[in-house]
Amino acid sequence: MPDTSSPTTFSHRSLLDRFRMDAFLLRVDWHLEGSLPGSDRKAIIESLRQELATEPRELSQALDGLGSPRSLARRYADEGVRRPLWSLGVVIGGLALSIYWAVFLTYTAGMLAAVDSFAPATAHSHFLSIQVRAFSSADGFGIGWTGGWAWLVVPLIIVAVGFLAGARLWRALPALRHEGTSRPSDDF
Amino acid sequence: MSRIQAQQNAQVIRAALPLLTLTLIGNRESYGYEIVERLSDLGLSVSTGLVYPVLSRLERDALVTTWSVASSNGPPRKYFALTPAGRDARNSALDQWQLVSSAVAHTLTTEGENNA
Repeated sequence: MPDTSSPTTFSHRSLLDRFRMDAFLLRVDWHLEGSLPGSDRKAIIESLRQELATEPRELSQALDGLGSPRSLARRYADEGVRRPLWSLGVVIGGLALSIYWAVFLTYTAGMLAAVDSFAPATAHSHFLSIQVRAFSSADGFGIGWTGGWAWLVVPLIIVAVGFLAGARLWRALPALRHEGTSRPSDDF
Repeated sequence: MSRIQAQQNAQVIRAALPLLTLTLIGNRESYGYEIVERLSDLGLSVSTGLVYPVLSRLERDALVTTWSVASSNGPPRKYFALTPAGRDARNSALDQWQLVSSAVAHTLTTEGENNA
């Protein structure tokens, strides 16, 4: 029989259950990203959503039956090749930029505190090739940095390295795609 | 049960599950959870986390076809039925299983007698 029916799913689950279900499926999708293309992942997630919505058991029992999102994704991706984890790359890239900004602002704030204790004074320094200036006088105090190439390039390099490492870009190389392909789990 | 025994059991179940699933669906169209319950009734306690990925692979390989059946008191259920290719795959898997199981039985009988 052809699959012509609408996949639309309405659930007898409560709002909280649906939230838990979505959180679980998001984690499964996250783990599947490293093994399967988007269209396959979408089909699997929709199928799982329908099964979870229709199982007659409590949601916690249904989720227990599926196991952890990681092991479930591993079973779905039994024959899959390793693929880059783009979502994780975005997260790691964003995290790297946040850390860079936090360290940079801490550094400039420290400079300002030091300069302020010797006011009136001005200090110049470099933070990863970016020239930073702090000053304090009777009229006021402040920090500043130059808008040269380093101002744009350094954060871009940090984001790019974080993104590429987080996404495990080397998995896009055909020679490395099959290495360490997910192994089947032993539990049943 | 030792860890090695548990792993062995899991591997046997995993190896047999596509054949079992194709056989159950071939006998009667079922939805995912119903297949787990039918296996349980037969004495095989298998989790949904093992059966759903098998169903997904069977569907991907066009060995089963699916459709949703509306329910009066709940969401629609996804039913699975065997395709002609699925029937062939089941017969082929059954032949292979019988070949392996008879070889295992033969080995156990002859070697068991020698060890007794």
